[in-house]
Amino acid sequence: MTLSIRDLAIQIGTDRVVHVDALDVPAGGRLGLVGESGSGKTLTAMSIAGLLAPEIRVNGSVQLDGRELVGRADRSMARIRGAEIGVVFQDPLRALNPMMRIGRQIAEAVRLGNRPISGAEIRSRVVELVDQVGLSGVEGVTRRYPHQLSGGQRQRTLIAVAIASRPKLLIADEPTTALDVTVQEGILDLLLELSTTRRMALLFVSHDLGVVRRVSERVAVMYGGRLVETGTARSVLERSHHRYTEALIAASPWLTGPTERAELIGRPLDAIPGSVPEFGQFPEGCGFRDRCTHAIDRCAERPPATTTSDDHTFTCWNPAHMREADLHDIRT
Amino acid sequence: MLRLLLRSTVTLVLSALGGSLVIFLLLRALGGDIATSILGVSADPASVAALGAELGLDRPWAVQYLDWLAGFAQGDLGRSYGLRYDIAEVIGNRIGVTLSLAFFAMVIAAALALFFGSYSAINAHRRRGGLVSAATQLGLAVPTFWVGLMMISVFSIQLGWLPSGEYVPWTESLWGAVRSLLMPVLALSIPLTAIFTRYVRSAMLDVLEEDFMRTARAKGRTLHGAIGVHGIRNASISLVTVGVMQLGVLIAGTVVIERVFSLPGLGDLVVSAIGSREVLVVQSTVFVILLIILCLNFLMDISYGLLDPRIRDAEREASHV
Ligand SMILES: Nc1ncnc2c1ncn2[C@@H]1O[C@H](COP(=O)(O)OP(=O)(O)O)[C@@H](O)[C@H]1O
Ligand SMILES: [Mg+2]
Repeated sequence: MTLSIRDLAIQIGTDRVVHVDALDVPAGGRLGLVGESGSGKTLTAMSIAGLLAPEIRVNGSVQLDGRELVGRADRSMARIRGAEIGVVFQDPLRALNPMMRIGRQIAEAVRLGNRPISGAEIRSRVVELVDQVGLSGVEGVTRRYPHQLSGGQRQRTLIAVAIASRPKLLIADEPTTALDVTVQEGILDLLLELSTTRRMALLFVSHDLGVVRRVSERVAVMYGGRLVETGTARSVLERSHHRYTEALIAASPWLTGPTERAELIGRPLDAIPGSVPEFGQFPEGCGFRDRCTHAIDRCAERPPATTTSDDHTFTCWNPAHMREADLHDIRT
Repeated sequence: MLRLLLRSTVTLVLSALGGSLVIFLLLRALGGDIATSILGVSADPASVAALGAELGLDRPWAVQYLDWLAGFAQGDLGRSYGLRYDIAEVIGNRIGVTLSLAFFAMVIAAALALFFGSYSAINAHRRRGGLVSAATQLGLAVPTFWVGLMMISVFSIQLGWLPSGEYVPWTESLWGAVRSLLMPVLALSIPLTAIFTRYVRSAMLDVLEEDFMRTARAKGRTLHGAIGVHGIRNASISLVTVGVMQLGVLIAGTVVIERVFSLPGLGDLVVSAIGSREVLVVQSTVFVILLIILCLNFLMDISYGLLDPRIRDAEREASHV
């Protein structure tokens, strides 16, 4: 496993806001982490790279190639993330230093991620990276400042920064959310291509199921700081068990196939009722039960993790797409 | 950039002209009759008139003003009315002292403020951070002249480490100059450091929240490394802004500190010239001080554009319309 998370708990003040029991990304694998805004996806993703503010406490275990990352001193964690983890952020304009030329910002990542390295090697690697992310056609791109690039070009720059060290793991947190729809495709293609050709494990975070489906082999659905359903992209998106996943799919315009879409014409998408609560205000038991149209009394208890034969795990007392017999098993 | 340069230059020239007029008029309006004040009230009217004519004071104000300005432009500031010394020469001898004081105080204050301001921002929620804030309060509260006097009494009189009141020019001895300027520069930089530290602190608190700091850490920087490389650079923009605003405070402080340490600078010259009613000396020296401030303002305007590429581009955009 490139990335292996066990019992990860993130605490802000006295609230435990994220609790991930288990999440794995194999070498070269692509995992999509999906859920509405405020589900705790960013906190989870940033905790892996040790990028949370010092006052946010992280417990449990995050292993990268078998090495424990939780509890490391900043210096040692900085070295690991510089060399082995790449991160692409949501807002590429804000994620780049407005006062530094693009070339220098990429070179900084090359230098920090490939120590020791000579000046000449850094320069040739920057050229190579600019080419890899498809920016070599932009005239004098390394001499430019972030505000002199388009949104898509900025995100490509950030991807160049992220892959500068040839990392084992690339974390992309909503990499297309701040971009125009027309440039989203290009960025997704680039991430997919990089992950496949360089065998980089990809942890792809998005609130958008359509986007997640395009890039992921496996999907993990997060709500209220917990993973509610995990499995292959196919089984999670086509035979979802958790009612939250089901509601999320019903609210996504891209997911339904041509025949189903025909049925949908003239019918509004089924928006999930209510909204994501603030942290600390999710209900006891299943965190989704106050918004769930299938909630039963039992939902006041925390549902156990159920794993089906095709490596598909979910935590729901009243799941969809289940046979009666299996339902019985879950509840007893 | 050219546009910025042009605009700053126009601002510089216009402010200099306006300032010179104000200085001239204020001194003429408030100074009373110059010849009388030189010869004393009991002098006979004929000799007062003769002196007035000799000094050119009988000409209309407009002519006197333009004459003064024209002389200034050529580096000829005339002779003082009383002691008849060459004003340009005296200012030339003294300007180095004032500029050295102001320059080093500014540099030291900026460097200290970048350190303390960042330190206090990083430790904002710890006691250490609060300690820095308390220290800046103190730095703002103590008067510069008192700090100067305390330094003299401890380091010059009691310990005998540093001289007070004997200025050694740079050209004579580098080490001597450093020794004679050390205490006054430090005294001057205390209030400046306090003010700057507060600005750096709040700028750094903002910068710490910036996404690009997280990117820097993702590249492999530690939190402190990210602050050192990206934070300081971005927070220093705000330092330039306050630097400009504090120039007046700095010059005022210089005048005081030159008196306390008996340093032969421009502030000392103005104060003694006021005492001996040397109107033309006061007029020219104050104008030179004003010019120094305006030139620094000009430089900081420009460096603002140099520091922030977005401002540079906004200027370029604007010049295309
Ligand atoms: N530094 C922080 N301090 C306090 N609350 C935070 C902090 N970061 C995130 N949160 C809260 O944690 C919740 C989850 O945040 P986040 O991980 O960003 O969710 P997502 O990425 O799924 O939208 C949000 O309600 C947010 O307000
Ligand atoms: Mg997020």
